[in-house]
Amino acid sequence: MAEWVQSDMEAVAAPDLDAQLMLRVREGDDESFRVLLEKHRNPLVHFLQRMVQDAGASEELAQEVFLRIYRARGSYEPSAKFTTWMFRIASHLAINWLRDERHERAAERLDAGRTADKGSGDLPVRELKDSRPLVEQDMVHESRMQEIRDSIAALPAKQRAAVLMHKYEEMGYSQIAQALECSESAVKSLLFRAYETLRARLAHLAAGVTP
Amino acid sequence: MTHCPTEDILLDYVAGSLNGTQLAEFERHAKECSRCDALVASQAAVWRSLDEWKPEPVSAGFNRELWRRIDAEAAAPSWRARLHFWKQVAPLAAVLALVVTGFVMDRHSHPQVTAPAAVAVSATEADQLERTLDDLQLLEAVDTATPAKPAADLM
Repeated sequence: MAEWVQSDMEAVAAPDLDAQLMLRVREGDDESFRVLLEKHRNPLVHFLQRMVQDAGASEELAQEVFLRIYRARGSYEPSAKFTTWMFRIASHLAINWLRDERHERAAERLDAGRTADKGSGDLPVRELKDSRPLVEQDMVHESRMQEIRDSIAALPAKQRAAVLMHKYEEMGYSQIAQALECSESAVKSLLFRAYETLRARLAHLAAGVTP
Repeated sequence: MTHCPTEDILLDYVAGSLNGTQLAEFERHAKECSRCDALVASQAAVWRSLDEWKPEPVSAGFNRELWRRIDAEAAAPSWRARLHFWKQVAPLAAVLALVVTGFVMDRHSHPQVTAPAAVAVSATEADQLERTLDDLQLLEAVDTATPAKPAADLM
């Protein structure tokens, strides 16, 4: 808690450029919001793509994040780094989306089971156009990518968010802690467990061995 | 470093946040320790794998769609705007309601404290008592001044 307060006070003492832009947005300067949007759109969408692994949903969620930031402009105070605030909203939305999606998927699986019981032999079959080495390489690469995506998807939502913020956004323990609204020691624990799981699942990729 | 590092050092290694000296020391140890060597290799595989994962480009119409939503909200103040207004007003209303309730309850629980009313009632009673005493004195005076008539006159 004391670490949070300290970092918040530092942020207040020296507001970052984003916070200054956001203060201008508060005064009604939409051009500053455009600058913030241009600067943070790609990292935010990419974070959400990796979080929810659904391109359409990730853009919708990113729009919701920016919309919430814009709506809150009137009461904005630079009490923390702008990106920390942004990723806090994004993590919150993504974790909720994953929770709802899990329920929907469970319902879909039930429906699929019922349809299968009725009998359906017309499932689409993916055909390979040729068997040249290039295609084979693509398939191997896609298989690796799928394995990486699955490994991340298998992590609990908070561990997933912590790893993605740490690995791709290069955020420190303190910033991740503020974004996930937990202590720094909790973040360390989340990261340690997440990387442990990933090592177990992805270690064979180092030697090029298929599981 | 002869022993395996503490969990904190391992975590910092895994998180890529060991400083140069610590990293060199750990890597030197790992060369002699099969357990830590395995951790280094598998962690390197994780980092490489995650580096390979490239995101998809963002849709060209992302900004346009966002501004459309912002403009739509600005044009029609939604329930969200009303909610925002009530969110700001509600605490003040709650405090006001508490003060009024407290005042009313206080008055009901201490009726004797209503001093002005009590004073008014006693003043009225004193006046009435005084007037009654005056009337009685007047009647007494009239009674003594009038001579008694014989009983026969009354018949």
